[in-house]
Amino acid sequence: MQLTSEPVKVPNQNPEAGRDRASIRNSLSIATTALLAGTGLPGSQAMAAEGAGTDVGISNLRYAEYERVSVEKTMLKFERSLDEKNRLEATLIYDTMTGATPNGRVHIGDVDPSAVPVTTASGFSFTAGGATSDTSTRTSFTDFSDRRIALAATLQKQLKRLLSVTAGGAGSIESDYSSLGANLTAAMDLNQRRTTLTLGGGYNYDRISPEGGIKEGLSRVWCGPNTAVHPATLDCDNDPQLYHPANKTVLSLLGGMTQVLSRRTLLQVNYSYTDTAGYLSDPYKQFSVINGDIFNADGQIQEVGIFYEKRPRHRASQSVYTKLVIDAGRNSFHPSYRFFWDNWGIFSHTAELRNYFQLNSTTTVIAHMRYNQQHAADFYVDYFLHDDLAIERPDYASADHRLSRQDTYTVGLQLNYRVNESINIGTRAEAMYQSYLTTTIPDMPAGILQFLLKIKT
Amino acid sequence: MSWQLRFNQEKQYWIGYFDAMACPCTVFVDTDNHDIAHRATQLAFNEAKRIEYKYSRYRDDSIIGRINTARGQPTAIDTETELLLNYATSCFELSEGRFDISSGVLGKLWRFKDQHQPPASHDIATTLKHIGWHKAKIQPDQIQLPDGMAIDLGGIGKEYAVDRSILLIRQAGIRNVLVNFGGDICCTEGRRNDIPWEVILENPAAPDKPAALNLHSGAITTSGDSRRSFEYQGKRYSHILNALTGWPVEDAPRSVTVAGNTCLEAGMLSSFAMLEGKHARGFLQAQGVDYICID
Repeated sequence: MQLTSEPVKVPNQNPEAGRDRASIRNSLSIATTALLAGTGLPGSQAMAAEGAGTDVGISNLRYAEYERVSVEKTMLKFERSLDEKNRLEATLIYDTMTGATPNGRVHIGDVDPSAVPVTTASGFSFTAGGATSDTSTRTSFTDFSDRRIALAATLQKQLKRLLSVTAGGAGSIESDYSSLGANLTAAMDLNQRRTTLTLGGGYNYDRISPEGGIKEGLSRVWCGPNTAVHPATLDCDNDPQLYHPANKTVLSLLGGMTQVLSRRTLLQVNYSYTDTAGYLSDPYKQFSVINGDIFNADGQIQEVGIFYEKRPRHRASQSVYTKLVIDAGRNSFHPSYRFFWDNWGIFSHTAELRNYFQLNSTTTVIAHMRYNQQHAADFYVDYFLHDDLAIERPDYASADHRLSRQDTYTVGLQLNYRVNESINIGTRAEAMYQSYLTTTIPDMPAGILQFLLKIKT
Repeated sequence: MSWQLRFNQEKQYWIGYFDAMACPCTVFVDTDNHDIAHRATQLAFNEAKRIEYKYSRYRDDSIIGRINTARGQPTAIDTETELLLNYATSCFELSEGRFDISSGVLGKLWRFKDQHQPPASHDIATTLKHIGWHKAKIQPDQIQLPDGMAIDLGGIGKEYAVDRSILLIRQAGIRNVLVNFGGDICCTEGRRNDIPWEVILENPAAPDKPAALNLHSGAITTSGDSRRSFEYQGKRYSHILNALTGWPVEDAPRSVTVAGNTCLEAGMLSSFAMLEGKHARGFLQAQGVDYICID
């Protein structure tokens, strides 16, 4: 199961990067090391280097959608300063994902929605073509269960006093998907460190190998016995072509600037461009052809055909992102806005606010709010009406709910507690509500619960 | 020009005493062995005096003296001086210009001891023209200051001497030593048998009730204005001067004590905290260090 169809994240695309005031201590520590180590006495590096040991972070996260997908994600992260100029980070992630996800088909009548189709034309493990006069449509779900392992490592190198470079590699494997990528970012300080410019690029190679192979897009999963699907548009007669594993490549570029506006405010602006090519469809997603408008039926609505989705083989997406960091003493506010658009017709707005509140010397509270508004891809459909298909064959079609028009509301709270100088613990809870502005997909509440532990050795 | 060594019966350790860099210096050596305590104190004394003579701004023959009288011409510098000046540059950038080793000349305007009103703003403006570390040109083997600018390593020198002394004492294989140069403290590790050093912290608000701290490793420094500050028109001005404005910082805590791995780091963090004025606590919390602020 492909859980993510995003390109590899180029470092510093993380909205929390960019200079924050706590890094003064780290920078000072590096400067002190340089001074004392340069005087040629043994042990000076160990004395001055605060990060001489390894920082270890462990986190366990549970994500659950109402009656849909559950994910449990365990992360282990190591950070170590190799010397005053080099820093290494390595992260290991283990996910388990289970539950039911919309498969793009429409659930009509008493049809059992939970089965997965097999490749042959006969012997389905689900029943299609159910009929109903019930106008409250539902989307059809498919159960799944999968596990994923991912490993990422980055090396940050201080080349000159004001120039640093980060190189990283990442890979992940799940039962039907594997990914391998590399990235490189450079950051340069100007204007007496008031301005930081960032430039980065990444490349990813993904391999998609679902069990049972990949069928050609817009080919049939099933057609009804008196099929009325017009032969000029979607083809019911031929057996769908079966392909072996497909692949896709992702190229991403990121440029950004962080600017100190005043002692209490920082501005960050990023632009990113991502180019994805290859097999970009979801091999498990399909769409339904029904014989009547669900809301205007007289008589019964019937499912007359099910077809595999098809997306273009190229996607070019861009985004601009801007964030302010406002320091108000114990409180720190981080509002941000992102606008995303691509050549599939999707565009989205994301507005976010984080508030960091220092309760006392050991406890920090982080409040989080987010609103995301996504507009559907050009080729997104809830379903096809048989009569419409008689007129024109679509080039692409997908009923994947992730490409539809949707609004997502999120609120969250995190508590970090410094147990002692070596141990930090944290806990985070988020509540999300995803509202789909379609006729078929129900609204979806979801929640996240996460525990974090960080140890300095 | 020498030092003394005495055995403290109550604590059962040796203490070396001398004066250097215009402050009383003590070296605590937790051992019964007189020769070891003698060696540790000798090392600290030699290093403190070496740095004092080399970097004193009161001596024309010191490197600082020569740099400050170069009248716009470049002055040759050695590796140690280059490293110290680079460190000063890092601190200048991290403090966004408020910590500036060329700002010592402001001390002529703000004398505090017998002062009852601020200097004239015209005088401050004139003095500010000769301040600005970004105007200095540093190369690996020379430095060139604009004519009229003078630098002073007062905000770095003592902490540097403490850290260097500890490094030399460690290199000589001596353990369980604490060095205290006028309140800037660092130790090689705790006392014998994992007992911490007991450090007394003066409370300017309650001088008869000092606080006791336990130090197991690393450094402690204190920045404060318990002796030098003045009030004018309802505002309290500390003796920490903001190099950008030429004025003292308002509403700084009376005393900031910071713990760090090295005296340089702790000292600079406590100086930065004082420069934050009333935001000192928030700043130190954000840095994640152990600190004590006394208003």
